[in-house]
Amino acid sequence: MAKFRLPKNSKIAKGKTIDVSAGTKNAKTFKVYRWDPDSGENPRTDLYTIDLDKCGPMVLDAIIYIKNEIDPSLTFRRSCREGICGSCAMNIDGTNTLACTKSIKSVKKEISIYPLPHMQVRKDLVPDLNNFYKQYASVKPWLQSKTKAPAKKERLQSKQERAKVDGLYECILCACCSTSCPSYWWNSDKYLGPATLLQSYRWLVDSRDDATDERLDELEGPFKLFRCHTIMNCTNSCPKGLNPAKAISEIKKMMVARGN
Amino acid sequence: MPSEYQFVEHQHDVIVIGAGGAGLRATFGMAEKGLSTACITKVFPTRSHTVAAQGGMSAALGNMGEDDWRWHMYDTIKGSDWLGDQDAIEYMCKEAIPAVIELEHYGVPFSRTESGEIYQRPFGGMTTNYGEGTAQRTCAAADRTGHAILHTLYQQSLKHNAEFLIEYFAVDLVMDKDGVCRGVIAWNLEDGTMHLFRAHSVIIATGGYGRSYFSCTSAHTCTGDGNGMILRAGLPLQDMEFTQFHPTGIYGAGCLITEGVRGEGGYLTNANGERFMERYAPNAKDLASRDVVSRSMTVEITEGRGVGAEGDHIFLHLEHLGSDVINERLPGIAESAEIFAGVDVTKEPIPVLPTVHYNMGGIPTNIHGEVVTTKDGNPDSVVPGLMSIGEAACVSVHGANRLGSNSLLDLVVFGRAAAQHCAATIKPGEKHAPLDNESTDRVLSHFDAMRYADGSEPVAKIRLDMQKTMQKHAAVFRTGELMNEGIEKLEEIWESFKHVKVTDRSLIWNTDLVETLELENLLGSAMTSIKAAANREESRGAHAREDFPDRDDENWMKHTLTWLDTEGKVKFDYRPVHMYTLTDDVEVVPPKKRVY
Amino acid sequence: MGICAPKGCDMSISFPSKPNAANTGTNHWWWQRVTAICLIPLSIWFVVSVLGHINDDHAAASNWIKSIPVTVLLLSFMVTVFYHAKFGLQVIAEDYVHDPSTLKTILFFINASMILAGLASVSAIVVISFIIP
Repeated sequence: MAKFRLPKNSKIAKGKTIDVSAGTKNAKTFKVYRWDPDSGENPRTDLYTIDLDKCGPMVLDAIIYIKNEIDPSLTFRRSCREGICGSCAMNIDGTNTLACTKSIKSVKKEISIYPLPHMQVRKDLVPDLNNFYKQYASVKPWLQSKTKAPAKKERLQSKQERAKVDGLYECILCACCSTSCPSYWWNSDKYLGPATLLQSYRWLVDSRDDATDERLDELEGPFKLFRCHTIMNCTNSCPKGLNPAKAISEIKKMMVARGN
Repeated sequence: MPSEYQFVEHQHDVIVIGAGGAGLRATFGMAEKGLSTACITKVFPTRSHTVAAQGGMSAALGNMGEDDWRWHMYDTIKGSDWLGDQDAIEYMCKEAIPAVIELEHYGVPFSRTESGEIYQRPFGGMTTNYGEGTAQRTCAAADRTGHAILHTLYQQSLKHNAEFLIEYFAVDLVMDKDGVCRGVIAWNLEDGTMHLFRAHSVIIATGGYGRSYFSCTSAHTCTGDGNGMILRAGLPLQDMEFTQFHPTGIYGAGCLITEGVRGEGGYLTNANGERFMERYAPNAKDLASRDVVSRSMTVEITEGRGVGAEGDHIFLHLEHLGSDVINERLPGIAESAEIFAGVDVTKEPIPVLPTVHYNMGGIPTNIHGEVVTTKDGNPDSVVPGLMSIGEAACVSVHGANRLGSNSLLDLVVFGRAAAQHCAATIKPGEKHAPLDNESTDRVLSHFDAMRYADGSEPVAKIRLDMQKTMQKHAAVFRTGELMNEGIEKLEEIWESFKHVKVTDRSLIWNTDLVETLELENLLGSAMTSIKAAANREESRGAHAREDFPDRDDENWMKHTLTWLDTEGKVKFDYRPVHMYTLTDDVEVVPPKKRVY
Repeated sequence: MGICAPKGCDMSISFPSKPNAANTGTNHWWWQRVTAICLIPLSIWFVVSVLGHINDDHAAASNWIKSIPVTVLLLSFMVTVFYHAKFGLQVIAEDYVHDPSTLKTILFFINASMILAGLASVSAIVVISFIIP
């Protein structure tokens, strides 16, 4: 059955409180989830109060500042710092988003930072994404064409056909959407989740791909696709402004339309 | 070996380090050919910095007007300020056409023309008829071409069931007594185990070292790890003095705004509202080569014509293009400008500044991707078992300055070439030569020493000192005096790294230690870069010296090789520029004055 | 937020060789929606009618049910409501019950009880309309 209580060892304790703002008018407090796999201790939330004049405008700048100036053991993923690589996805102020494009000013009070929800945590803000990546691979996210590509020329695709993959191919696989979905929380072992389904749809509507039937066959059954209950958290949380919920409903329509 | 470490040994035909565009193209290329290949990467493949490339990939398809790969080759040579090897440039420009077609066949969602072909946009330095007209040569997927290509390459890797070791940090190469590369040692961040990967060929595809500067378009992970490994293996790096400043990084944040903006008709203005590029490059104007535009912008700012309260940046306009063109072709930069500069590009200009973007220098290789060095008078002596591709490598196709959109091309063409070369030279399942413990122990001892480093200097402080020093002393314009001051400072910083303090001692996801190892790699690149820059007494491409303003072909038309010892001392040697072509399809382009 | 002990990273990828049973997901989804749409007018009619007859005595109520259109509508409503309830309850069980054998048992009881409840309602209407004079 679904568990409604956290296991004992995952109850979050109160952690350290560190204030390095030194009386500045521009102070801000960050509440950060910490868990060290080596310590054997429960996770905790540390409170860091910093001077915003000394760090950049985004939440990522703040946690880098905390790592650089206060606690070098603070662990998180980051890379491009411009919202295109999808590394720094985390739960900030209750919403899954990218730390690098989330401005500190957009949150009025204390900013709470947790790992992506309902994922196993490796350390601090680093969740285990292996299952997420496997699900992505499971929909065979590559061009499958039965016709041979023309030699020495590109396949032709009209502007209108190409426009169909807009809003789909831009996905950065940050997992903000999937990990915001209650249905994915309960059934992440069987339900593919919005990110993977968005990618599936990206190939379903690509005019160059003709494995539509096979792709739809693979999505059949009560779980992989149909566990989506149109809760819409995915669309609300996508930091790239994409709409996985719509893509999923379009796949459902395709499933019905092909004559089931 | 410190017995504390769990040590797992793996045997493969080939190991690729890095899963950006070049690494992925090589990885699945070899998996396709039946070689047992594993790709080690410190970030999940689609998080590699290729993902941030925006404008496109050049190839003379001629979809938008007449084009010829020979013109592309001419532009690239001129762009390189005649430091590029012409045989390699010929190979790249000729192979560009099948390479981009192949990418389309793999499924890259390129933007399209009315007739359904791949859309191509103009880019800086890309001309028709050997400099006469403007070429539309850069194949684009809106302004997210790198993202589109990287994701497609990862998808192809999944298709070919290539093996990935994700979030493994490559610590060092395993070199035997004869200077042959036998494998690599990597650290699995997830469970803290150490791994020895034996391979007949190790391919370094670790990208550039942009993070040695304070302000760069590069990701936090662009730390020149491959360069660091090469230097520690006692091998040289090539042309490290050439660092490209991209004219349009967002002022403050440093995030990239693609040259494609100017390709689509955007232009730069100074405080007087003047389109100043018309003065510096009467023909190409805003679409001159990147080094030229960056220098012009810097001159405008230093002569007091910068914009903003401090007069320290320049405006990039695209509001005249209209929201339709912006939405269709430049949606990503509209988003970036909004987030990082608070600018609505349909109404206001973007504040921009030349920002460190690309490293032309790197690991010297031949056109197959094999690492070369000078040995017994032979400038092309191959280092057995070692290859390099992508930004980490220096083939050299970019010479002293890379043209925009030639980078994605470089990745794909030489990633493919490396795969083909391995397939031709390595027999699948060949036995590995025995390896003595000494070569692995050295690596592990070094790792262990770093892990328990208990000095007084935090990693972040040393890194910041290095970045500020490089930013100030190895900038767009350079002088001997300024650089020598920088070298003095950097030598002090090098010393301070001996007193580095690592706080986190754990092995699982210890990013404090990762950043320390990365800093060591960055320091090697920074040191060779600034010393090579002070050493080269001429101006060529991205290396602009005020005390030596002219190009000096007689003395300096040669590649710099730099070796680094543990004390930060640099040894120099030189390799000749290949002034010959690969085939008779085209003739050598002799050096001439470079004007746009 | 769960925590976990480190475990080996297994990046091997396996694809299901054959799709899941025929079109179970699609059919389920489709019929759940069809029944939901049918239930909108039927429920309104049912509530309004029941409220209208709330003060009826047994004979008046029986008479109302005996009219052919009412019988047909009532039968349609009952069949649809329990069919829809079966789908809905099944989804809830599948969402929250993760042990396969427990799920199987629960699904059996859901199906059985919905069939029973449906049969009981249908029989009652049929008896009132056609059998009791």
